[in-house]
Amino acid sequence: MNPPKLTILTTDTDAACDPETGACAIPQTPIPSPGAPPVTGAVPPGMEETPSV
Amino acid sequence: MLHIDIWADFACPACYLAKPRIDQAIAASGHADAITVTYRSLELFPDAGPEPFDSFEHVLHKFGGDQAQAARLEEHMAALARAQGQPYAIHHPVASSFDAHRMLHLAAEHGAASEFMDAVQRDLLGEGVNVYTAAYLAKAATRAGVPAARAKALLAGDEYANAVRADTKLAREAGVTAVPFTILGGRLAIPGAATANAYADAITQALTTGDPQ
Repeated sequence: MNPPKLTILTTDTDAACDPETGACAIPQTPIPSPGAPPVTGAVPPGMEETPSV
Repeated sequence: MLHIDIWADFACPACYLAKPRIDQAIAASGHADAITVTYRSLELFPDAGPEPFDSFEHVLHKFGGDQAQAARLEEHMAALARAQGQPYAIHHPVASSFDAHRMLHLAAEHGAASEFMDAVQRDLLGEGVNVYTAAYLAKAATRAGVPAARAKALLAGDEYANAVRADTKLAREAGVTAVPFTILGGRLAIPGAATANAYADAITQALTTGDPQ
């Protein structure tokens, strides 16, 4: 596989981890109750609103 | 045909959340037979040694020792996992996952990469099991479908070490800044753990617009 030219899709994401630091982040959203649909929100590239670990 | 590349690490909670969503999106696409997946290696803790440390201590360190903030993040991660039927161990061991990634490549050779990824992530992030030992990796690989002798031979040598490094190099070249990092058809990318619906939409888009690979 060659280094691809990518189109980054803007999607609902609710968690991501940074391969440079090992830090993970989540958006500032309520904790869902079991059985509830996954919480959604903007994460990468807009991880500014998230608490970084 | 559509090929999906997923960069992930076993110790990556977001990757653990994303895995069943991607599986679900593929299954629901109506084109599962036309979709292939490659799990690519990207160590979240490339400098970690063989001796495990507590993941929560790492989180706590990143929060400057703020116990409440660290606990809040981990409780949220646990809630996200539980909401989709996955257990989550707030305290799980972190160590070098290099050998686990080598084993992942061997599992792929035997068509068992998905099963191996599922099992190791569930044991590590769901149950807090030390998955970094040779004994564990051999057992998990064998259960996933890798011949025991092949798993044992891999752990005795450096097979697939270059493949793990090549995946990491490719991730850098592709500009991977968040894991999981999913590339559909070599051109559409989703950084982070998206919803199952978002993965489904991306699969539809990739199938509709064709796969240049």
